[in-house]
Amino acid sequence: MRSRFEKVVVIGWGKTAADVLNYVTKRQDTFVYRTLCIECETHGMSKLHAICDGSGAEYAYIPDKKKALETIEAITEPALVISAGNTCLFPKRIIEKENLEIINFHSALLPEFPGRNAQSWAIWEGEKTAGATWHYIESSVDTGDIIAQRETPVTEDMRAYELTRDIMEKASEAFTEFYDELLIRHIEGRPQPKPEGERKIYYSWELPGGGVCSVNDPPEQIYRMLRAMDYGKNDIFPPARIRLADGRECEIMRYMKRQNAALQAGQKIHVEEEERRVYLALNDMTELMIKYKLKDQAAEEKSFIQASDNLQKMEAGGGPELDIQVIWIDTGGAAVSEAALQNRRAA
Amino acid sequence: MEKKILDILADVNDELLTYTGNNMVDDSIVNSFELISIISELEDTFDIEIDAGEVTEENFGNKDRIIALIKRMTGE
Repeated sequence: MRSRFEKVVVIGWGKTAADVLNYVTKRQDTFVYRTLCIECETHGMSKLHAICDGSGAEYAYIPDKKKALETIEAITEPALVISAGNTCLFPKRIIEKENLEIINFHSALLPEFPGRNAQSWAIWEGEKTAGATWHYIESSVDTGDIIAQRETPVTEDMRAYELTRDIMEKASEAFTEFYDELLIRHIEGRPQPKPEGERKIYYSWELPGGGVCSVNDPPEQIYRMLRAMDYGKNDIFPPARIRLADGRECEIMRYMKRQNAALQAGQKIHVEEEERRVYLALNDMTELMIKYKLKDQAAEEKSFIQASDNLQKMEAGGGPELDIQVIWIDTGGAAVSEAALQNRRAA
Repeated sequence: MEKKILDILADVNDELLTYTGNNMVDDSIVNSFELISIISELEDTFDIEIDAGEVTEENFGNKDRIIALIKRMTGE
C-alpha cells in the first residue's frame, strides 16, 4: 500500500512527538515513505534521536526555528508535516505550498483555549473536561479544521502536569486511529465552531491568575491557580507568588492540600511566620498549606537587570524568544537537570 | 524512612524496587511524568523542598540514590 506522501516530517518535542514518531517510523515500510524528524528544542530525556537511529529515519536538531522552517519549505516532494509539541509558527507561504499537508496537535478541545499552555487554562477556568485536538494548520493560530478530538476529565485535585500526561495519552491514541487513513486519503476536517465575541489566544507569557494570589483570596481559587501552574520542577511558568497580609509578596516554594481534623470552625488563615507557611482552610477538614520564601534581594536585582537587558534587545529589534526557557523537560513535562543535559551533550 | 520511600516508588512503578541500573529515566523505568510524581510525593511526605538542580542522575538514578538524597535532606 502506498502513501500519498513520499515524506513524513515530525516536528516538535516531548512525549507526543515521541509517540507519533514511533508510530510513523513503524508504518514507513508498509506505506513506503521516508521519515524526517526535526527537533528545535531538545532536552536530556528526549527519545526522538534514538527512535530515528533505531528506525533509519532522518534526524535533524535545528535550534534556529527560522532554519527549521526553511528545511520544511525546501521539501519538494509530497509530504505530510506533523506538528506535535512544536512551537514554530508556520508562515502562510509554507501552509499554502501545494505539496505539503500540515497537521498539528493542540492540548485542548478546540476551539477552547487556543495558544500556549492550554491545559493550565482549563484548570484555572475550572473546566470539568479537557482534551486533545488534531487539526489541519491554517495561517491563524489553532483555527484549522478538526481531524480528531478526545476528551479527558479534569479531576478536583489535578495538577497541570497530570492533565498534560492524560491529554498526551489521548493525543497519541487518537493519532494511531486516524494516521493510516490520512496516508491514503485526505480526511475531511470538521470546521471549528466560531466563538461568540472576540477569540482569545493564550500566550506563553500569560499566567493563570497573573501568577500571584493573596492570602485573602478564596482558598479554592488559590489552589486552582497553584495546580494550573504546577509542572513539577519544570519552569514552564515562573514560580507562583503569594501576597501576605502585611503586603509582602513572596515566592511560593511548595503547596499541599491535606486533611486537618483539628481545624477550628470558622478558622480561615493560620500563618507560621518562622516556618514561612500559610495554612488556608478549604473546608472544615481540609487545608491548603503554602510554603513561601522571603524575597531574595540579590535575585530580584539580577532579574531586574536581565529584564532591562531584554528590553534593550527588544528595542534594538533582536528581542529574546518569547517562549519561556525550560531547565529540564520532557513532555511538556519531564525531568533532567541542566547539568545532566550538559553531560549528555558532552557525551 | 526507607519503607516510606520504597512505598512511594512502588506506587509509581514497582520495577523501581528491583532496578539495579543507574539511570531509571534513560532505561525507561520511569517516564518524565512519573518522575515529577515521585518528587512531589517525596516533598509532601518528608516535608522537604527538592530544588530543580538536585534532580540529577546522581540523586535520582535509582532507589538507593533517592534514599541517600532524602536521608541527607532530612538529616537522618
